[in-house]
Amino acid sequence: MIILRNGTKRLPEGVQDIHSIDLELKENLTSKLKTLYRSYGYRQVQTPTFEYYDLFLEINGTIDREKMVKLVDRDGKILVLRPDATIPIARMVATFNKDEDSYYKLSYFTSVFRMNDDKQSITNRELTQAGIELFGKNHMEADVEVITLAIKSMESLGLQHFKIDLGQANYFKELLYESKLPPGQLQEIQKRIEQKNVSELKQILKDTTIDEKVKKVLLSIPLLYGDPANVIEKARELALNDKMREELAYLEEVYERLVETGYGDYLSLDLGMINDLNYYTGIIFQGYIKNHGKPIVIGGRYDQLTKQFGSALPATGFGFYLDDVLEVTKGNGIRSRENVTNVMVCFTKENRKKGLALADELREKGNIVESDIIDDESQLDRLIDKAKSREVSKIIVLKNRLTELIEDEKVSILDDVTELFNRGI
Amino acid sequence: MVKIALAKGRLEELTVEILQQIGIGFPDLMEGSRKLIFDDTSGRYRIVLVKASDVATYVENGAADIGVVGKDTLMESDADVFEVLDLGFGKCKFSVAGLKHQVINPNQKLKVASKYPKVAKDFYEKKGISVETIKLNGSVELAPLIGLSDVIVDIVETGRTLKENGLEVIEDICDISARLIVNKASFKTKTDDIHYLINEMEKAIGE
Repeated sequence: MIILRNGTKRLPEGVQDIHSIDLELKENLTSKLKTLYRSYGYRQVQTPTFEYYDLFLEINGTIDREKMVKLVDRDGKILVLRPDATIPIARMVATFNKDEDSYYKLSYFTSVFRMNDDKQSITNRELTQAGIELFGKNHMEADVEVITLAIKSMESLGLQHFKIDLGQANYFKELLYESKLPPGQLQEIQKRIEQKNVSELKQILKDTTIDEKVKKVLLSIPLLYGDPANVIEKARELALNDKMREELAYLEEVYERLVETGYGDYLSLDLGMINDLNYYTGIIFQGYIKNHGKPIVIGGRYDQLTKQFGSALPATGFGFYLDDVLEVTKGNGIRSRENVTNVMVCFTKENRKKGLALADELREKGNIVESDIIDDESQLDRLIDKAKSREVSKIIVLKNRLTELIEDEKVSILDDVTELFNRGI
Repeated sequence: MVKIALAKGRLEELTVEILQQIGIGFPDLMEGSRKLIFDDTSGRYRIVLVKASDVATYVENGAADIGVVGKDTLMESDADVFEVLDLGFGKCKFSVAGLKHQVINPNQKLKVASKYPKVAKDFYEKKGISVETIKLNGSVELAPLIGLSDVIVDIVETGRTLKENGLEVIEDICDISARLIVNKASFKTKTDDIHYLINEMEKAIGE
């Protein structure tokens, strides 16, 4: 046993081993999503595990700088482990894009790293994200396609009782423009709206000099959620200028197109969803599953991002938190047996060549086959017991000139190996 | 089913009273049972009793859908939840207190003892004063008396404890009262049940 010095734990906090069963479940989810995204023309890309800190420092992103995991390069430059999937992909696209007219459909399956220094509960510092990014299309149908794919992802992952909550970043941005508030106050107000904390919002607004009309709308924003038709009607009454009405109409049409496809039951609206406004520039959405406390997919339009890398491409996309999905599907009790050994071939020394050939032949037919050698008969029982405890359903024993097939407690003596195949093994 | 996280004590009693008023009764709980989980008579609501400082954790992670928690513990935990209702009871204040005639020199590092180090740190950070916080778990009033810290940040209701220990309030930080918090996912996926509850509770406390 390795004893680490200074009482160090074997693994740093916030990272974990993934055991085979969990990893198989995870791979299973991943492959479903890969198939789906591929069928829509999204092609998988990968960016480096670490990049320059400066890249993420200069970009208006969605992660706190303090939460990035930093390293120092040989020349003293600071590196960070990939804190986010979208920004590097945007950098990559902006770098190789030469044609402003082109579009790119990309998918990713990747780890992101975030420090989480809450002392009470250190949560994962390595998260798996899966998602798509659609660059170069700024029309409504692109927004609709991305949301559609988020819904189809949920369906293909076997998730039920989920909600996709739609918002419109610009409705609120226009309102802020109208309010002419200083940034400090703005932050306080925005925080209260995000928390749906109307009582404190009222308190803060009381001490400001904002126009009464704007105040009324700011106070109503946290309550603009729920049934879409209702929300849109209320929001239209509250809109203070044409731009707000326009942004709202856009949201309404996106919603209607999704309803037309038959996704109405999955959708709700929340105009108080105003997180990460520096980043999102249009339709935004979050997906929730019943009885899981956190959103499992977050997405939206971010048209300004590639501009910061010198290539103006409109963009929209989403990212799934695969670890959360895994937690939920594990709770559903779905367990795959497709990776468990189903045939065990045992042979004596003189039958070794024949035994190994048989094992290979069985593998080619798609079985998962393990093989082992027995020196004498007395070892056989132990080997069989072990195989059974590992849920191996068929055990084939080759000894002298006999072939024995043990299947569900029954033992059959076969004349010949070919009889195995006649039995469909 | 809607799960409600409450902390044993006054907030819990007052919350159960409000729930009673809107027709959600927990007979077992009223009888003073020592269980930690209680279902209401309709079977649609469940109360779980947890430690006050854990209410926000339960709700943030979705183990409970809603919770009632003092603004003090909520500020300290900085939980990512919807804070939908000020229930208006459990009122007190966050204040800075110290010895009488305590001089606070902005050019000198200030030592602050508190059960709420985050609240203390945030408050002074906003004022641009650098502080060293010392986390204590009780009898915070002692700290300035025996020289552990210059001042304390604590909740003050009547100010009697401070006075008896020769301390006084130097400045107030903010008002505190009980808040109804909701898990963000529950808010979206159990919309009807939770909105009904919020609306009814709001009506009940308005009366």
